Amino acid sequence: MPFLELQALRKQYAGTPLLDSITLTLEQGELACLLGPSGSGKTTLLRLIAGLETPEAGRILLAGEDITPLPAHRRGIGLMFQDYALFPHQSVAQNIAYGLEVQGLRGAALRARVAEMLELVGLQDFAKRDVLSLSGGERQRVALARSLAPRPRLLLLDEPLGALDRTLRERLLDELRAILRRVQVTAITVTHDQEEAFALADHIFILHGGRIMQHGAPEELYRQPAHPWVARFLGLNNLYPATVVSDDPPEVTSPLGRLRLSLSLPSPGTRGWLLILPWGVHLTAAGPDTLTALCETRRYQGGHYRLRLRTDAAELEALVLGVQPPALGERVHCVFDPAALRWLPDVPDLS
Amino acid sequence: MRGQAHRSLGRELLFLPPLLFLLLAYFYPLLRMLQVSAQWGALTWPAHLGRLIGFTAGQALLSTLLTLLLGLPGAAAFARYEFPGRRWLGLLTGVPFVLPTVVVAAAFNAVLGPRSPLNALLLTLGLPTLDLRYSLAAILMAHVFYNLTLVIRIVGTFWAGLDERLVEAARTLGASPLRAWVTVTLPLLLPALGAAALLTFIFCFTSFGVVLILGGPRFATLEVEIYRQTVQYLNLAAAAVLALIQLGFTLALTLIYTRLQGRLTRPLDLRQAEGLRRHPRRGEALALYAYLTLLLAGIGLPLLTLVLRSLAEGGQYYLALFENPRRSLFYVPPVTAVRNSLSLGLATTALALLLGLPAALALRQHQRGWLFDALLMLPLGTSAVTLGLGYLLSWNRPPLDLRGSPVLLGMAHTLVALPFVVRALLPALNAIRPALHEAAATLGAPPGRVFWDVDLPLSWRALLVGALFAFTISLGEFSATALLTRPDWPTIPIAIYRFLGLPGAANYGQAMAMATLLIAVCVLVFIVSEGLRPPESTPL
Repeated sequence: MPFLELQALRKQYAGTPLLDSITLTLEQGELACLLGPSGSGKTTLLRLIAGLETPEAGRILLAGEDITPLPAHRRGIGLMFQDYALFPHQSVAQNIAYGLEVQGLRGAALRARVAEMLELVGLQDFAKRDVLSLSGGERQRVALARSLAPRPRLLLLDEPLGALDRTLRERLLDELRAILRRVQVTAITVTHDQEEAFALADHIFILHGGRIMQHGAPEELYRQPAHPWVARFLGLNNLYPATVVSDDPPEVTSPLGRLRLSLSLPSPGTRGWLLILPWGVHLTAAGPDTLTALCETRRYQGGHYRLRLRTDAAELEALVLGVQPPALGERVHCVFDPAALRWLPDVPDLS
Repeated sequence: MRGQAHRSLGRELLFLPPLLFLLLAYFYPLLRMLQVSAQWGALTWPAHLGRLIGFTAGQALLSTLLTLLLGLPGAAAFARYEFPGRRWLGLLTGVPFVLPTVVVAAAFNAVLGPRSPLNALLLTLGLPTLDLRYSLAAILMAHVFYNLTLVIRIVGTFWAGLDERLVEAARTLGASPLRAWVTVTLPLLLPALGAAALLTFIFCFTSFGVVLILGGPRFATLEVEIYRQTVQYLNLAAAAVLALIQLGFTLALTLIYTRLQGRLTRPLDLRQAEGLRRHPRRGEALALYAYLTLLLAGIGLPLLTLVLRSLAEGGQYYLALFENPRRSLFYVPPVTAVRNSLSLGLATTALALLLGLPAALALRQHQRGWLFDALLMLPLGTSAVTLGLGYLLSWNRPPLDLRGSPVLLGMAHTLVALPFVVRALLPALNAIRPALHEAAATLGAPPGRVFWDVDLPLSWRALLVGALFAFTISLGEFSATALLTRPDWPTIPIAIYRFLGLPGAANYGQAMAMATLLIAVCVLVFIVSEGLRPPESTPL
């Protein structure tokens, strides 16, 4: 039995569906992430799970119990808000103690738990501080400590690092993951940032237009995106309309010409998409099977170059290691690693 | 996307107590008034209705024009210039607006009467003295005194937010300062000017205490005539007709005002006001300080004269407040009036909070709340004399013959105070981010507890301000009280009015003493509530 199970959840707002038949399961102790652009419905889904919104249809099961009719305060699900929602009239310690006091915890036990939480997030000396005097990173930690203090069965984090600047984010990302692992909580993070998603979660659900487009481990998503939209969302832009020419040997034709893949294909004549992962584009000397292109832009990304190439019919992105990158405007020749070629079925584009 | 997920039945139930109160204290009396007014044909008609309406509107128009004329430089001064004492003077201009009408009338009575400072000067010079009371000039002066702050605040706030670069653009295009003001600043200020003018007009149109006390028997606005028809001629049907005419005028004006205010809140690229003020240039300084001196004198002189008059005779007027020299049946010692006012004020405060809090909680972020909000604000557009008359006409039959009972007074005072309480509470409650409620809920707090843990600690200042408003409104309320109270159950304003009508320096001095006490309470409350305004805080 899965720990959390969402069954065909649906939510509308003013007639337009925000979420359409969302079904997913989560195992205990898993760190999951809802990843999607703004407007994809990910925050709404989080609020449905927390009990802050009610679904029009579907059920939410937590540890086998149907919690759909339960109000937020009786679900035992913690939520860390995007901009933290700390109580401005309470000190750091009072904020962290709030959920425990509601549970009826008093005296030494309460103080011990608050101290434990302060230590967990490294804010031992901040107990008496006014939350308004804290920096963004400190507020984030107080919010985390507050939501973890009552030992929620499930922790939800809404863009946990979204309000912080980039350098701080990098640093807190590892810390946050370490804390979540240490307390062994089951957690769902919502974010629009791939890096954040990949750093925080073992399992990612990609949301778009109120639907789950694909889910899996980060590596799986990169290795085999299921839709052209997912590929583009993940920054995989070498995507070309293609038609299967033969299924043995597996070959397709596309604006880049006729290419052989190293995976099985549907029957000849099927239309779909060819994806070339950027590490599979190799620059080489001119030869019979090479493709000629112009180097249009070149960006150094520390250790490798990201090139944008243009052939007669298409644009192409390539990651090139090494010391001798082509100059801008230089004519280059490239071949594709068959292992980096993917076949994506044609689906109605949702963008 | 943010949800109205838990629009529970409990929340809608919060509407019930205030609605029920409005029904009993507002709509039912108005309905009775409508019924009674239908009988007017058979009764004597108050003479010169046309002249009555003409005078009411005319004096209101004159008062409004004068207030605009005198207030506009003030708006410019406070919006555009930095000068020593700016904050305190700004606060001071707000004081007259919170004073009870009776007090203002008493102050002008003191400053314009035969024993005024001006007449003292004339006497020493051997010149004949002047009595400026009971004249149109006296009424106009009191109205300007009262409403000046409206123009200064409404227009000034708007002016401070206007982008000065627009004027600079006009100047670089060749406009003289005057031309730039007339062609750029003035048109942009128009909505604010209109709002301030309309509000002033509405207040002057329904002016009661000032006209009754300062105008004397020669002058009557609709409001005063309603009172006279009711109390002196017992012609309730005629009073009801007049009240309905007035109600029609004020509701129409209020409607226009609300429309204007909607335009006001649409920002015209308004900028942060701070930092745009500058010190006056040499040429401007003279005009600025001359105006500010005039302003200070205009506000300070009447109040100061009043206080000085109350202190004459070594403070014996204050001591006399506790005596009852006449021992007549209808004469009660002034200290009884103080006791009555205090208990009425406390009852009003309690009732207004009890009704205002649920109303504000129900209104918070409610989608269809505007209708209920408008209902709550209706009593503001209805004069207190009209309300008083409505009560006399509706709660006058067994088993609920409440005429002369303090219950009706409490009802009237609460009705007047309720919109202010809601207005004080609502912004504070709306400023509490829904995420804080949600955070408390996800931490396990049930809705009732969220109120105690989040809403109450974050809005107690507003609650206190609302309570203070309710208390001072009740303390100073004169119009409805004048109609409703029994002779042997006076409040402080009623006692002041009676003292002013009695001959003799002792009575006059006691009126001044009581008025001074009222001023002290009002100023104290005013300062406290200004101080309680929430500091600008970083949103969490």
